[in-house]
This record gives sequence, C-alpha cells and structure tokens, in this order.
Amino acid sequence: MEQTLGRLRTAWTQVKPLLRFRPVSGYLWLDTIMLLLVGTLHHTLLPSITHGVFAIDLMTPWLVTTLVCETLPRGLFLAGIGALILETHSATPAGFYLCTYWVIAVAIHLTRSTLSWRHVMPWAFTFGLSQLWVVFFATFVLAVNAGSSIFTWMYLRVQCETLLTGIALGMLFCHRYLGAGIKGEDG
Amino acid sequence: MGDHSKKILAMALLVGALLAPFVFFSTPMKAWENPHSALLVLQNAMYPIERLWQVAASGVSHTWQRYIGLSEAANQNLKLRSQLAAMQSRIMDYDEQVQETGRLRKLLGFSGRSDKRLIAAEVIGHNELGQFESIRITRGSSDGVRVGMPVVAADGVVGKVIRTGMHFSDVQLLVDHDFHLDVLLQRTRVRGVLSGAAHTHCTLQLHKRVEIRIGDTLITSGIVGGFPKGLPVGRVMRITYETDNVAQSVTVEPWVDHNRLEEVMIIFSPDPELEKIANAAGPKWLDEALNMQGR
Repeated sequence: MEQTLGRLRTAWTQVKPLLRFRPVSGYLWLDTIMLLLVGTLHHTLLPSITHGVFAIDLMTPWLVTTLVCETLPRGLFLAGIGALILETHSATPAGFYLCTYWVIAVAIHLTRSTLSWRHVMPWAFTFGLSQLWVVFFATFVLAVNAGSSIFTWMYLRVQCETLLTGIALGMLFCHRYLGAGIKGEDG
Repeated sequence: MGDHSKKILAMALLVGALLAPFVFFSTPMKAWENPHSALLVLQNAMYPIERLWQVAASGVSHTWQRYIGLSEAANQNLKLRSQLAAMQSRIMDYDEQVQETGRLRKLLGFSGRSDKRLIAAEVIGHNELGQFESIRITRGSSDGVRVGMPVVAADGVVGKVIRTGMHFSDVQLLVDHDFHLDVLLQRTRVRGVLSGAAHTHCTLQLHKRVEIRIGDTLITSGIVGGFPKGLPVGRVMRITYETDNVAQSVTVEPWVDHNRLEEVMIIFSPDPELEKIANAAGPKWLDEALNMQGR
C-alpha cells in the first residue's frame, strides 16, 4: 500500500509542473492542448461571466506570450491554431485572424532580440500594440464591409475594454519571465 | 544559419507580413463554411469540452433556481397568478379574432401558412469580442440543420446558420455587420432591409417621406431569407436624417437579448419547388443550393 502511494506521489510530482495553466510549457503537444482550452474558455466561460457587458480577449495575449518565448515555426503553428479556433467559432471573415496573427508573429520575431524581456515595459508595449493592431484591423474590415454606421460610443467602449484587458491578461501570462527573461536571452 | 540567410529570411517575412492584408482583402471576406474538413476536425475536437461546460453550467444554474433561490420564485408566483388572470380574458378575445381572421382569409382565397418544423437547441458558446457576432448551438448536420436556416427565440429573430458540424452549428446573429434581413414596419407595412451594426443594434435606411415613430415594431416580411412572415425583429430606438436629405437612418434594438440567450429554435422551412428539384437532381444539389443561399 505504501509502495503504491509512494509511486503515486512520484507520478504526481512529475505531472504537476505540466498541469500549470501557462502559454509556454516546453512541450508542443501540451501547448496545443492548453490553446484548445483557452479557445474553449474564450467561448464558454467568459461570455457566461461577462454577459456581454464587458469585452475580454483571452487569445491575443496568450498567443503574444507564446510568440515572444517560442521559436518562429512553433509560434506560427500555435498562432495558426489559435486563429482558426477564433475564426471557426464566429462570423469572422475567413483568414481575418490568420492574417492578423501572422503580422504580429513576424513583427515580434523581427524585434524580440533587440528588447530585454526582463522588464515590464517591453511586455506591456508588445501586448498593447498587438491588441491595438487586432482592434485596428477589425475596425478597418468592418468599415469596408458595413460603412461608418458601426462607429458608436458603445463600439469605442468595447474596443477600449478589449485593449486594456488584453494588456492586463498579458502581464499576468508573462509574469514568470519578468526579472528572469526568456530562454536564449543574453545575461 | 548564417547572417546572409537570416537577412533573407527576415526580408521574406517582412514582405509576407506586408502582403498578407492585401491577400486577405482580395478574398470574398465570408466566414468559413462546411467543406473544409481540416477545420471541422478542429471544431469537433473542441465540441466535447464546450458541451461538458454547458451541461455543468446549466446544472448549477438549474439547481440554484429550483432548490435554493425559492423565495424569489414565491414572489414571482404571486405576480404571475395575477398576470395569468388578466391574460386569460385577453386570450378569449384573441381566440375570437383568430377564428374571424381564418374565416376572412378563407373567404378571400388566401393560402394558409405553410407547415414549418421547429427544432430546439441550446446555446453553448458566444463570440464575445463584439466585432463579429455569432453563437454556437447544440444541433448540427446530424439533426438535419443546413447552412442558411433561420434561427429564432421566444422573443423574435436570432439569426441564421452559417456553419454546421456533426452535432453543433454556428449562428450569425442579427446584430452582425454582415447580416441583412427583409423586414416590414408593423404599423405602416413599409418594407426595408435591416442590417446588423455590431454588438447591440441594427440599422435600417428608409426614404425620408416614410412615416416612422420611435417605438414602432419591425417584423419579418417573409419574402427572402427563409424567415416566416410576421416574426418580431426589434423596435425603433432612434431616427436620424441623412445629410443627403433623401434618406432617414433608423436605429433598431432587437427584441432578443443575444447576450442572455440560452435556448433557440431552428426553423426547418421546406420549399416544395426546391424539394422537387432535389428529388430529380439528388440531395447534394439541395445542400449546395442552401449553402449558396447562406452566402
């Protein structure tokens, strides 16, 4: 009996670090599962909590953290899955999030070696600019399709909320890298 | 990787990123539809978790409403009893009027309303960001749901099916910017095309001479889109006159609160002409035709 309990404890200590809810675990399969979970939370838990009163984008900060910390192929793979999750759950034009996240992925890949990820500001700016790009692109697409009738105070409020919550959630996801930096960053 | 190769890769990525928006805008800009099997795999992989969440959340909500939050139910019961008594007397009047209308329709030779089958579905997901409005429901192609089918709730029109999986469908909401619906002003019987305007309301453009008041109700015209005639759509909230001095822009608030939807009904509206063609050309033709209608 004690032997079995001991084995279970050992197994639990090995599995426990993998069960942490974070964007980058080091295992692609686990990151993919976590991304599916984030997609599900985005479409089930969040709407039932906010009831449409408050807009929260969970996917963009999650993917931005992934893109900063992971290699380009892995980042692009996960960003592609994240984009398809969003596109296949909504009335979004096909390719909208693929295009948006592709641009973010390239921008992060080209600039990340020039920034120090130990500090708060690079993270905050990256989350803010990424969210701003998503909002700007969506607004442009809506303007092309529907004209100016969509631009109401309510629309502006929702976009501001998305921007602010995106930065806040992003800072939560990147918390473990503050002070320590990302893998491969020079000391 | 050498410095030269890195530079070429960076340049290629930059060019790709600059071209991506142009490529996107050269597409038809419509939501994903059914034939993409790889996408369906991704959707079906997520469906069990979403369904599990919906079952758990509705279980907690029902337990609270039926067993714990009963003091509110007692107060509600008293109110409903008094309302019921008032409604019963009104129903008697309505019954009389319905019979009278039926007799008059018969006399005038109007055709009766076609038989429409309704199927109930639960809402398991909602796209939250307020730019592209849709919900996910628990009925799919295995239940006979097809792209383009109208979806309604007790309060009125909800939207139409834009994508189906085996056991779920995605519904484009009335307030989505890409949704258009033929409507009638209930009081004046003026027709117009209602367009979604993102998040909470829709807009309707009418000639400035059309008589319209704040609070007027809009109903479906039943002419295009598969929605039966007379379904409540929304009410007029605001009227503004365009600077061109020709049109008036009407802001419409839908009767259905999309953020609080729990159950919806899908309308199976059989078209006898389509069915005749389908019998001759095979069932696949009907699918393609409905998909085209959805576009």
